Amino acid sequence: MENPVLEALQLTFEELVLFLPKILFSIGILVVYVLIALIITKIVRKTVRFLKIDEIFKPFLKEIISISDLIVFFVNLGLALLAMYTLTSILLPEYLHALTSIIEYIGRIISIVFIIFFTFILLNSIVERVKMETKMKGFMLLMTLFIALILIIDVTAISEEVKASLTWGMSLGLGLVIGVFAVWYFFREHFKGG
Amino acid sequence: MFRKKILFMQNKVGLAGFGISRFTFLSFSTEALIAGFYVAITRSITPIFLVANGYRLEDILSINVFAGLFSLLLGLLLYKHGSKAISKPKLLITYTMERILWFTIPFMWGNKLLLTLVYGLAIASTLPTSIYMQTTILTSFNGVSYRRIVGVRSVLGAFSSILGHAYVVLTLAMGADGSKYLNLYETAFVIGMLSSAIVALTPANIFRNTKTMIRNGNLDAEAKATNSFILLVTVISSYTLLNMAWTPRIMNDLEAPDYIAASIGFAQTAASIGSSFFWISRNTKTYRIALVLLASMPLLVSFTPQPELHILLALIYGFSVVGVNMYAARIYGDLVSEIGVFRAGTLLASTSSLALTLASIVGFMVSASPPMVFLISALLGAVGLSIALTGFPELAIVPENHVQLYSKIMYQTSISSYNLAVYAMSESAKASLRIIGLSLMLMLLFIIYRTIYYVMIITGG
Repeated sequence: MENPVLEALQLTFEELVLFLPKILFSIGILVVYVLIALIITKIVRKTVRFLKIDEIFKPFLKEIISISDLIVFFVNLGLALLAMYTLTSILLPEYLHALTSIIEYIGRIISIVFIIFFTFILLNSIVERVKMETKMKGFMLLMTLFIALILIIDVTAISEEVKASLTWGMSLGLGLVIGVFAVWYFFREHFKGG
Repeated sequence: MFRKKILFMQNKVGLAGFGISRFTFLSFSTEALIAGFYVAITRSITPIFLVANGYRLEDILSINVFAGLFSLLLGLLLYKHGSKAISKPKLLITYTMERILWFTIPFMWGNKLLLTLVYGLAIASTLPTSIYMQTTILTSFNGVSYRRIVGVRSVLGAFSSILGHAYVVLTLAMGADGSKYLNLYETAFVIGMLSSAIVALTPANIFRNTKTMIRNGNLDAEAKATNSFILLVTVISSYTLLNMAWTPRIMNDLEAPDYIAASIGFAQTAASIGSSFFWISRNTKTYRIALVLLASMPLLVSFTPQPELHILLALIYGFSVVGVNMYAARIYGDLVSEIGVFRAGTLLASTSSLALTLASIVGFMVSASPPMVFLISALLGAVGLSIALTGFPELAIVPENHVQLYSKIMYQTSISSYNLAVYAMSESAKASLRIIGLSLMLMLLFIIYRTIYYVMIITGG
């Protein structure tokens, strides 16, 4: 029997030789994608600067977000996703379905994070504009937390039955809380008088 | 500034000193002779060709508006950002490009949009050619010799134009239906290329130092240049509008035979041959006659009931148009040393583009009512005449101090109107460009993410 280490090494090299063309091809594809991304970014940035597109949105966004940065970000994100798909289809075509599931899952998490952020920003701006009592603020925060919790439960790995019953229970609770609050808010004088 | 002026003077004296060789004179004259034939064929055949292919008057007028605006934009770009140094290759390229563009028109008739674009481009391409040609002639000749070359070129151009018109009529009358238009365009292209060859043979030394010949003149010179520009635009617009409405007036209203209508154009061209010699070396005040005749002609045409008398009117009109053109040549020839040859050439060449745009827009708006066309043509002529009689010392009928005042007022008003128009145009152009740019970027995002969406569906997402 030959030296097992040498034999293993030989097998590894044989596999490497088998995969080498695919790897080289993938590197080539990656380089092409990087080049495309660089060129598009440059063109987009130059066009945006030349046409002063940011100025169209200045009155609405007040320099919070730059439209050109946003466009460039999404273009590069899209190209990165396409590059990932291309590389997977060359190197590991059997994992394409898994990749789609992963991307979908990440997409859901990102959308939930975005919704939570958006809700909190919205809540904050409402609290700033409408003078609210401390109790009211607390109530709003509680509601937002419940809604966020329902969304987070949606992406967790617990079983579908538990997910459904938890969400169902929370939604019911939220509805009841809103109802009780509305009754108290609009008819509190009557209760005091009684 | 002083050094520049000396350089300019030296250059001018130098060129004049070479006698601008007879060869240059001959070459520019021959160019006018040959190009006149090509211009007559292409310009007269294209509207007929368009009508024969189903275009209506409104279509042609709207194409002209587009072409005129495109020319103006091109003129403005050339004036503001174009290289001021004119070289022989540059002139030759624009000159040949114009001929090629006109030749492509008959091949585009299948696609209305493409034909509109090519026709617009062909008309617009005449502007850079005209600017470079005017500037080159202004550089090469000065004073009396400039007026002489303009006169000789007008005569030769008019002569070959008559030949061209005759050739068009004969070919249209006798040629086979399918191929006659193409034959005419082919002939015009060959002749046009021949004139390109003449331009190619022009001595290269006349293009020297055109770059030094751009300058800002003093206020009086600037005012004179601007006021002359306005005067010419109003007068040429009046002329273009009158020519648009003259034929329908004779054929439809007066029910004259078609040969009388055809004689109108012929009479104008014929008159321009003889009158060029008359106007070359006239006293400046004589040009008043040309302006008065030109301004009164729309009303005369409108109120003359005898068709035969219209031929006489056309003769007088051709005579007065040449007079006004000669006066324009004289003004810009004199202004060369003040405002620079490139600016003088550009202003002179842009007048017809602006006049064409103005006349086409007005014509488009009032095409349903011919009397309105005559009225507006008369009004434009009257405005031109009033400008000439109040704002130009050599033509004025008011005291000199008043002339200076009116001239300055007119200059200031036109400059502020120009600034406003340029501001409005550039702002709307910028907004459109921004929206186009943003749409392109959103389209790019759409392409990328739509592809990802389909990839996800295909891979079982």
